[in-house]
Amino acid sequence: MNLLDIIRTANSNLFRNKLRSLLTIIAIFVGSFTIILNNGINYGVNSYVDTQVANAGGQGYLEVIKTDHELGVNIQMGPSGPTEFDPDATPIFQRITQDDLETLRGVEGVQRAIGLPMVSARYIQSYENNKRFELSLQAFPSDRLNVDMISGRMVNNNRNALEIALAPDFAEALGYTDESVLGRQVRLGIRLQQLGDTTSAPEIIRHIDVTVVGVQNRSVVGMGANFINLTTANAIQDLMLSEIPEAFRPADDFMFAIVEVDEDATDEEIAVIQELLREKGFQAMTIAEQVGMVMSIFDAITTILNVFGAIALLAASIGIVNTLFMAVQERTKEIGLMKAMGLSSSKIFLMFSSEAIMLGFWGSVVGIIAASIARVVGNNIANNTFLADLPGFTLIEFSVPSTLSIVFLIMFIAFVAGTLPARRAARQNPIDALRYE
Amino acid sequence: MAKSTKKTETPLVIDARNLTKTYGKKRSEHKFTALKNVSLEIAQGESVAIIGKSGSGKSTLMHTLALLDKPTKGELYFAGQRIGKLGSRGLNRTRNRELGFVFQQFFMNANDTVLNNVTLPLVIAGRSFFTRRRRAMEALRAVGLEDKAKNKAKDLSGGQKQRVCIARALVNNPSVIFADEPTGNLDSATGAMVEKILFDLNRKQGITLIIVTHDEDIAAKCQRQVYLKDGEIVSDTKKSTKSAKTTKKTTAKKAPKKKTTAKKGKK
Ligand SMILES: Nc1ncnc2c1ncn2[C@@H]1O[C@H](COP(=O)(O)OP(=O)(O)OP(=O)(O)O)[C@@H](O)[C@H]1O
Ligand SMILES: [Mg+2]
Repeated sequence: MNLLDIIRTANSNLFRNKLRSLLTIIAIFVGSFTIILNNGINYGVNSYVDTQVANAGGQGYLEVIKTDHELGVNIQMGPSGPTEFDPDATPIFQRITQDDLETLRGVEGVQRAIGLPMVSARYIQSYENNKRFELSLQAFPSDRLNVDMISGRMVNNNRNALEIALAPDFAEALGYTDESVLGRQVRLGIRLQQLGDTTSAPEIIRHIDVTVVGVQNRSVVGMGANFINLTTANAIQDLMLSEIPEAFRPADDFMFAIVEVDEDATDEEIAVIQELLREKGFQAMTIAEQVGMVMSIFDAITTILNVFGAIALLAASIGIVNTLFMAVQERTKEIGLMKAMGLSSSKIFLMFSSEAIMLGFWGSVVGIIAASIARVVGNNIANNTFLADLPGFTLIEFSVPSTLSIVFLIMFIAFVAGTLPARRAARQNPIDALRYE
Repeated sequence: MAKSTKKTETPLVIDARNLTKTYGKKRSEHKFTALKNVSLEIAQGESVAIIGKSGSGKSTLMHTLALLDKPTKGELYFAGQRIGKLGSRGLNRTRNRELGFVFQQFFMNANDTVLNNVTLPLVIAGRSFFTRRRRAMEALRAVGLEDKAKNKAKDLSGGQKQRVCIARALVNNPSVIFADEPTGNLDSATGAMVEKILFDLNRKQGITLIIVTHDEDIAAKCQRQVYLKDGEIVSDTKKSTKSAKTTKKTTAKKAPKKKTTAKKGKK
């Protein structure tokens, strides 16, 4: 009996007791479906984030905050719950002063350190249709970051001109197309800060005109913000504070600073610089690390779901053992006959093992089919709801190697489960089997 | 090659020497000796009936001669080869290529087709798809059931089932066919037809036939009758008057064919 015959026999034996095989396959399917789908989501999210991170660039780009605390996902938490207040201790967050920036510039490997001004505008107004829109405004941190553009270019921090790169959909709202808006002036309404209780006082709005240099595509880095260059940010900041007497103006300091190091620096070299910064009381994170922090939570969820899948598979393999023991019992005479006709014990073993492997195989095939359907349906729902603003994000994506390895793993588990009944079948004595009633 | 020289010295297909078969553990109270010191020599082409009352040890003897069971004591030679030395691979090979089985209870895969049932020994032997088909169809033709090849085995009548089993026993060109009460589950008319097929195979193809039976009529059609009682051979008569003629015929046919030798040479 050659291998093909053994596999063919095993497969047709499987279909002899259809209901029993089907139930076992369903049990396996529950596990395989969970694991395949779960890994599909993990893969989908990871590959999206990976491409976003890769597209975001950010080589040699670090975001710096000033704190003595180890950064965790939840910064206010110490190792054993919330950190108790201590009046002598430095606060968790400290603002980054001009002196701090000098310190940062003095660290070996740091090419550039700038504070990032926090600015805002009340509205953006079109000269074309005079409509006004709410907007979120951000200073573009560094030309080391890449943001995918529909048209034009990103703002340039080295220019003295007032530049803005619009968020997606803004060009149209302002009465232009993504192309025709380039080079046009738009008006930003800036609310001036006032001293004292300003809740009842009327808003004072001043205008600043900026030139549109580009329109962004949707992206994780962009996050839907309108980017302005540092020149514009500084101009807006000056404008915002113009009503406040010099003596009452807040210090010229920042929440965040941006540090640029050599673009070709390796991960190890960056780690050295991060350590140097830590010694001086700064925490610096790369883009990948910031994303990694979020992803580690996601990975933990995936792992838990995979454990559930594994438990389902464990239950299923007990089902395989049971099914095959019944099959061996049922086919005692047949086994006896085949042995009488000269089929070796090892091939009988192989036949029943193949049957187990087949169960695993069909269970995972059904799992793949169901997961594929879930993928189409799930992606469709996701793209129409919570992922609608993130084109290029497929929630569930299958990687061929990882799906294949799941299939092989399940087939292997099925094989291991099958060895027990298969051994019993192989050990049967032809005479006893033929006399068996 | 040493084997074939030995074979010419011993033109016996089966040579059993002092076989004893004890069931149950050696010292146990339940131990039972089903065969006691049985010696039997069967030549190629013979037809032998093993007769005896129920429980006399007929099936036990047949299973031992058919290499399905090991004797507790004694030695068994098949075509000149000592079985004890064969090992499980050799045993499987010999059973597959040299022996055919027909049982009272048929033993078929009822839900499978007739053709697939007949090809089973060839599948086990690992023959090619075309050889399987060709030989199975030949065997079915020999038992007159070619037109049933595609039918499910369970849809056949008892006599047809037994003929399919004969076709299956025949399909790998065995040198010996063992039949344990082949007509036991059949009425006399269909039984007679099955008998005829078996004896034709013995006569025309020189296949050694060993039939276990209660039935004196069938036994009388064999060249030789071996009577068992309580696990012992009580008589061994050759060439009853009726089969004396057939013996001549068979020897005449058998001599040029030399089946086992020819087959061994092929391999
Ligand atoms: N596996 C076994 N364990 C114990 N005793 C056995 C076993 N197989 C057979 N026997 C005993 O050996 C004796 C011979 O059995 P066997 O089957 O050879 O008889 P038989 O002549 O073929 O009978 P029948 O005509 O009824 O088929 C019986 O007494 C039986 O009970
Ligand atoms: Mg019997």
